[in-house]
Amino acid sequence: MVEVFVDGRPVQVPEGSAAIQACELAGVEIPRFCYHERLAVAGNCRMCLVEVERAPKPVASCAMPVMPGMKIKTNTPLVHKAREGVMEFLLANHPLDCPVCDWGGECDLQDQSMRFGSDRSRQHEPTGRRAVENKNLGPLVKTSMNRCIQCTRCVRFANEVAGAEELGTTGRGNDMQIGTYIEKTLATEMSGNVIDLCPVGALTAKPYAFSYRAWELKRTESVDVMDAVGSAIRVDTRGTEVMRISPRENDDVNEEWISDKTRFAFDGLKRQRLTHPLMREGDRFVPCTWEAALGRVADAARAAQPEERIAVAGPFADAESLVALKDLFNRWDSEHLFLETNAPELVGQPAGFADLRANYLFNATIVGAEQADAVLFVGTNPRHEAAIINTRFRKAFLHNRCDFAAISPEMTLNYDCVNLGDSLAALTDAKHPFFERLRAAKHPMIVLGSGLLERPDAAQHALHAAHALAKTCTNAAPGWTAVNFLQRQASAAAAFDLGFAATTAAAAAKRPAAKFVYLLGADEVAPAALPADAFVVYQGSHGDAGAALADVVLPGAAYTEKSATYVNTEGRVQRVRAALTPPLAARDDWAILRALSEFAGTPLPYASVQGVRARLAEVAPSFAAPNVQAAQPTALAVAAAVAAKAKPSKAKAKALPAVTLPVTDFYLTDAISRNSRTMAQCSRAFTHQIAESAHEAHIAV
Amino acid sequence: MTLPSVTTAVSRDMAHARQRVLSMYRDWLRSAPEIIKLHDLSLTTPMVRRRVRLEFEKKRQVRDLGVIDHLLFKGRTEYEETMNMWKQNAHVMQYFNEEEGLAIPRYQRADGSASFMSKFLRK
Repeated sequence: MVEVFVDGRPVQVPEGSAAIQACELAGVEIPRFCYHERLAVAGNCRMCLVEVERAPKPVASCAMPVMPGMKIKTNTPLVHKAREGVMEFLLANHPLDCPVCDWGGECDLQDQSMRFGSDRSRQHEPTGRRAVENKNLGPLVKTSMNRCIQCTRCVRFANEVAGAEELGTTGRGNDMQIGTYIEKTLATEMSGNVIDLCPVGALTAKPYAFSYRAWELKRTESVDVMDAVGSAIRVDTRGTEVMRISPRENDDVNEEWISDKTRFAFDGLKRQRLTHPLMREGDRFVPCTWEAALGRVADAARAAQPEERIAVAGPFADAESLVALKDLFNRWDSEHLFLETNAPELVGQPAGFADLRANYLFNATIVGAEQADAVLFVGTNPRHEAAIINTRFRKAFLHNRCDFAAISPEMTLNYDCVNLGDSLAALTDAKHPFFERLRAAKHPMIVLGSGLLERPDAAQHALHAAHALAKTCTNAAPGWTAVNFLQRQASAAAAFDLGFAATTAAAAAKRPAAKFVYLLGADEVAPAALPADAFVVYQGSHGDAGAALADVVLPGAAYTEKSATYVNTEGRVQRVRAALTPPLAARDDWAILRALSEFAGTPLPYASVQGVRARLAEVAPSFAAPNVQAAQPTALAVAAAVAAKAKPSKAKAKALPAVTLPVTDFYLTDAISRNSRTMAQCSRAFTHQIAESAHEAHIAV
Repeated sequence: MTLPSVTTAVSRDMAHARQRVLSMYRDWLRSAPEIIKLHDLSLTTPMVRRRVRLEFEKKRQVRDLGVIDHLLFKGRTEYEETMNMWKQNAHVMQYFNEEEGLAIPRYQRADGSASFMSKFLRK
């Protein structure tokens, strides 16, 4: 620690920190444009100038390391004059279009020119401002490059965090421009973050340009469910509409970034919504009352034998509705509860998989992934399945020289990754030179993907082989868990925690043909997996693939419309908050199941959300403490013991089919994103590389 | 003829409060036929009286003198608004959703408050 004085007040700061951090610790706010805590220091905006005693000139505090006994002055006439001067230079070339700028009201330049700028202009020339051509960065980021003040935050973000190294600067001085040089879209699933980073309105959102003003919005702090990461988000609404979604800071999960799907898929919440209970009559759906719909469902459930009743949970099912559905099915003497997979039929889990939390969670934690120094992916593309965790892997790549290898089909990651083929035999063999590196690593990670669960035997084999491999990683730091499971659905971890998806593969294979199928937001169920004479109920927010199979459709709430609990892939219990009310006759998901239980004559013992949460905590103690990531060392020890018994054989591995990736198109993975216009455009532009026509580019700008 | 307003009073003790409540209860019961006539309701007198009784029963457990006084004041206001036709038909009928077939009597609790199911189905 080093002692420095800010405006005469002593503060202790870690050695090597910048003067601006010392000022922040002392509670003095320094204006800045280019400096950002999570990016490299550039020191090119000069707004953070402060006076340091015995320095001949004002110094840029973001680029100035602290020295013992340094005396920083932030409130002297010299500093004020310097800030005013910098502001004048920045504004000399900044267009005066705040009234038509989307960033108006949230703009750093606007705020700081009011606070630190001069109160009058010395610029009298009507012409001569710098003019820069706008760039086309794809369907998400809109550019207005005249407004750019060359802080290079976007360039640093794209290069460091997102790994899209094509964004850079050309020219120098007054001619400096930000762009890709050769016209190119910003092809990264993290591109939306440059909008938040831009301190002026040069980069704004294209999909919802000019649709709101910042001060009209109601802000609700919530959690994302588009993947299993559980990023902290803020849902901004106006009236009954979600207007935008932006990140909140949560150092343990998403730092302050969110993926493009999290940010832009919300327009899918306005299309294809289920608003009334529907009943199938012939080949069409007819709206009906809740009494009629629930009565019909209860009758159909009663008509089926216990073993013939099954339930499938989709990616957005919250813990409350999962536990209500499980309790209801258990009252009906059925245990056939499945989690949606891409498999052509409903498969259970490998025996013992759901028994240990360590088996299905990302044990190293999201923060821990940063420390990794050798990582092996098995059947997963973290860039598509957990884009935020992928940024941590990229950090490990940049800072720890982490080595990566993958047992998967060919995939493009934003760091170097060796492909070891797509056969699980590579994992059992462990002959490739990479495995030497893994065994020698201090923080080795074997990341198993959720796609493996499509084949229980493959999952079982991969899990055992991974544990056997982990045992040979003798150099690992004490307490470090090498085997990690990466979920891709927000509902998955909670489903396993609650014993919802505990049906084993053997039990699933033995069950008779289903007569009564309850789809809780499950859309990936192949029609072939359901017998033709089965009575199918779909409960969910969107009229997507699942609803099309149904005999009765019950409208549920989307994640912006309910207060619900989700568990992320590392086992962190988090609460989503309702920003809106469900549309028309749609209801909270757990309440629908509670009402159904009453109609079926087997009422559930809770009638309020508090009641359901008490039940959650009863079933799984981890639900009693939201926002805590509970690592479970005892469970880990048990997991290792289980693995020690199993002997993965090479011959068996060869017989297994090749590993596949569950997500082929990052932008279209679920009911919400499939109904989003923005996501469809992204899929076209980024996944399929179809260039926007000149006409489209024009209307979008 | 307009029903006159009364001065807000403070109850001396529980006995006094009880007397005031009973007096107001009787006022309501007595006016039941008048209310039906005034607002042209398609209800019978016993139906209205039953509803009044339920409203009083809801507050039966209240023991705080200040709260009772407040409830008396609110009850009197409601009474005046009803008898002076300051309410419209819909305002009066809000108390009779059940008779209108809007609520599901099967799911009504004994004290008339909404149960989970009646709320779920009505909303």
